[in-house]
Amino acid sequence: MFHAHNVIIQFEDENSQICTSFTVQPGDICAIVGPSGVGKSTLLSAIAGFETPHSGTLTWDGQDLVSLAVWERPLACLFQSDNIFTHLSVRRNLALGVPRELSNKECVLAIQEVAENLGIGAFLDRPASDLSGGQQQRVGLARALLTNKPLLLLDEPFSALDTETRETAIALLKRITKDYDLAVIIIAHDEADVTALDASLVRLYREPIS
Amino acid sequence: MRLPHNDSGFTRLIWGTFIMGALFCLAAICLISLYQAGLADTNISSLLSRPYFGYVIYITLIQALLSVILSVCGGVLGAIALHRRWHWPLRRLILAGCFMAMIVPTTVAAISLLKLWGQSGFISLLGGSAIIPDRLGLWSVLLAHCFFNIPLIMRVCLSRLQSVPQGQYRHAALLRFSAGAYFRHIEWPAIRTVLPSVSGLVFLLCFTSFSLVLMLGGGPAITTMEVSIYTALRFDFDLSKAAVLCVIQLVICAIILVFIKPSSTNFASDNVLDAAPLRADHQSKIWLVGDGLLWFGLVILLLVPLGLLIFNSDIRGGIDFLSTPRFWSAFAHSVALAIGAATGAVTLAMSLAMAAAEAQRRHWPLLSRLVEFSHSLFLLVPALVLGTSFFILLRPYVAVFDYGFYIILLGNALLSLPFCYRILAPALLTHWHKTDRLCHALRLGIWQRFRLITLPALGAEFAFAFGLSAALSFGDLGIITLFGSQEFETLPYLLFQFMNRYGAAEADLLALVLLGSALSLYYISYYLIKVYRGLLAR
Repeated sequence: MFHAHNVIIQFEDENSQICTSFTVQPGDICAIVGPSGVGKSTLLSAIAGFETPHSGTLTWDGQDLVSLAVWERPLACLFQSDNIFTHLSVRRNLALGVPRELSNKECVLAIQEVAENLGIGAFLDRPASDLSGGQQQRVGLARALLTNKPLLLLDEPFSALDTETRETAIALLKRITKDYDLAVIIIAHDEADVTALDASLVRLYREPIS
Repeated sequence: MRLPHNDSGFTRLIWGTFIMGALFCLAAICLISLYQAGLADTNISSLLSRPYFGYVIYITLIQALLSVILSVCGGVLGAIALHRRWHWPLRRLILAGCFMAMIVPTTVAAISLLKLWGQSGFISLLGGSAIIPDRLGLWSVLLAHCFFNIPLIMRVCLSRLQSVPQGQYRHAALLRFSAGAYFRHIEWPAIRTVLPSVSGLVFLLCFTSFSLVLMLGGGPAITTMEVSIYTALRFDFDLSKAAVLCVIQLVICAIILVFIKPSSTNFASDNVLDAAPLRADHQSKIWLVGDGLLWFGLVILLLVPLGLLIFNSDIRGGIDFLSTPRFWSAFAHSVALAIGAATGAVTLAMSLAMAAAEAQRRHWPLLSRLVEFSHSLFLLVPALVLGTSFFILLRPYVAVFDYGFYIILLGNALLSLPFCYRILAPALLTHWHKTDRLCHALRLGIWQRFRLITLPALGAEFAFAFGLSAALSFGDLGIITLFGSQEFETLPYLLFQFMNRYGAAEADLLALVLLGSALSLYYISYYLIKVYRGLLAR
C-alpha cells in the first residue's frame, strides 16, 4: 500500500506550497487533479524521487521512500511523451525493463507475454520510432509492467492521444491495474477520464507558506 | 496585388543572392589569380613529384588527423563527464574555460601553453621535463589544437545532451542504467548526429592551422600548407610555389568539404549550456574516479595555462612599452579591424540567413542550398590563401602593402563568417518564422523590424556572434603576417615579433592586453545590446 502523509512541497519563488495526504491500495487507481501549474507533476516527481519534499512521509508497505534512490523505489513511471528510446526496436526497449536476474529465455518469454497482453506483440521487431503515439505509450506501459514494480506513476499519459485511442488506453489501464495488482497514481487533466477510470480523487491547491 | 511582406521578402532574397554571388566571385578571383601565378606555365606532375610537396601534405594531414582524434575523444568524454557531474564544484569555471577558448587569440594561447608545458614552464619546474622532450614540435601543436578544439566539441556535444528530452533521463534513472547503458541509449545517439560535422570542422581548422603551427611548430619539420605558403611568400619570394601550395590546399579542403558537412555544426550560447540537466545517475566508483580524472584533465588543459599567464607573468620589464606610439598604433589597428570585421561578418551572416529562409519559403531548394553553402566557402579558401591571391592579384598594379588594412579586414570578416552564420542562422530562422505574420500585419519595414523586433529578441545570439568575430579578428595572426610592416602592425603581430626576439616581458604583457581586450570586446558588445534591449522595454 502506498501512503503519502502530510507531504508538503514548497515553491519558494512563488511563496506558496501544496500539502497533501492520500493512500493507494494495490489494484486501485488514484487520480491527482488540480489547475494547471499547481504542482501535480512536481508531486509525482517527488514520489518518483526526482524532487525532495519539504516535509512529510512517503511510504510503501511501511517502508520510507524518501531515503531511497530513484532506482531503488518500488515504482515505474510513464510520462506524457519520450517514454521510449526511438533508436531501439520495440523488443530492445522492453528488454531494458526486464529485471537483471532473469535468464535470457525468461526475458524473451516475459517480453512476449506482456507485449501480447498489451496488443503490441506484432510490433516487437519494428523500430520504436515507426510506432504511433498510442502504440509508443503502450510500449512504455509494457516496459513499466516488465520492471515488476508494484506502484505505477502516470503523468497525463492520455493527453497526447485522440479520443478513440484514449478510450482504449483507459480500458487497458483499468484491466492491467487489476491483472497485475498495481497501485496506480495518475495525473489527470480531464475529470471525465477520472470517472472513466473509477479512480479515487486527490485535489491539489496552492496555499501560502505559513 | 502583391503584399508588402512579399516585397520585403524579395528584397531580402535579392540582397542575399547578391552577397552569395559576390562571395563566389571572390573565391573564383582567388583561384584565377593563383592559377595565373603558379600553374599556367608549370608542369604539375613533375612539381607534385617533388618530395617537398609530398612531405608538406603528409605532415599537414597527419597533424590534422591526430588533432581531430585527440580533440574528439577529449571533447566527447569531457562533455559527458561534465554533464554527468553537473553538481560538482568547478563546473562554472570549466564552462568559462570552454568559452574562453573560443575567444582567446591563438597568440595568447601559444604563450599560455608554453607557460605550463614549455621548457621553462611550470611542469618543467616540477621536474617533468623528461615527459616533454622538446618544447616545440608536433606535441605542442597537438596540445594547442586540443586547447581550442576540445572546448568547441564539448560545447556542441553538451548542447546535444541538453536537448535530450528529460523523460529519457528519468527513465534511465528509474531503470538503473549503468554508465555504459547511458552511453549506448542516451549519450551516443544524441552526440553521434553532430560528430561528423563537428569533426569535419575541426579537421578543416587544424588542416588550415597557421598561427599556432607558426609559433609552436618549431621549424620546417612540423609545418602545415598554410605555414609553407607563408614561408614561400615571405622568405623564399617564390610566388609560383606559394600558388601551387594554395591550390593543393584548396583541392584537399574541397574534397574534405564534399564528404563532411562542417556547416551544420551548431554553437550553442552559454544560457543553453548552463541549465542543470535532470539526471540521477547510479554512482559507480570506477566512473566516479574516471570523471574526476577527466575534470582534472580539463582544468589542466583549459584553466591552468591561462591562470599561469594571468597570475604568473613577469611584466615589469615590459610596462614601459605601453606608453610607446608603436603600441597604441597597433592597438588602434587591432580594434578597428575587430569592430569592422565583426560588423561585416554579422551583416553578411544575417543577409545570407534571411535569403536562405526566403528561398526555402518560396520552395527554391537549389538557391537555398547555394546560399547556405556560400557561408562555408571561406573554410575552403582560408584567410592566408585569400591574402596570397590578393597579394598576387594586386601586386602588378598597386603598392599592395598600402591596402593591407582593407585586405585584412575583408579576410577577417570572411574568416569569422562561418561561425557567425552557425550562431545566428538557427535562432534567426526560428524567430523570423514566429514573428513573420505579426510583422506583416503591422507593416514593419526591414530596418524597423530588425531594430525593434529582431535585435532585442536575439540579443544574446547577436552579442555572441559579434563578440566572437570581434575577438577572433582582434587576435588573428593570419593575413597580417603577409601585409604587416613597420608602418602597419597589429597587437598579435607585435606579440609574434616579441616572441621571436625573446622579448619575454613585452610578449607576456601584450598577451595579457590581447586577452583582456578580446574579452572586453565580447562583453562590451554583449552589454550594449542588453542596454539597448532594456531601453526598448521601458
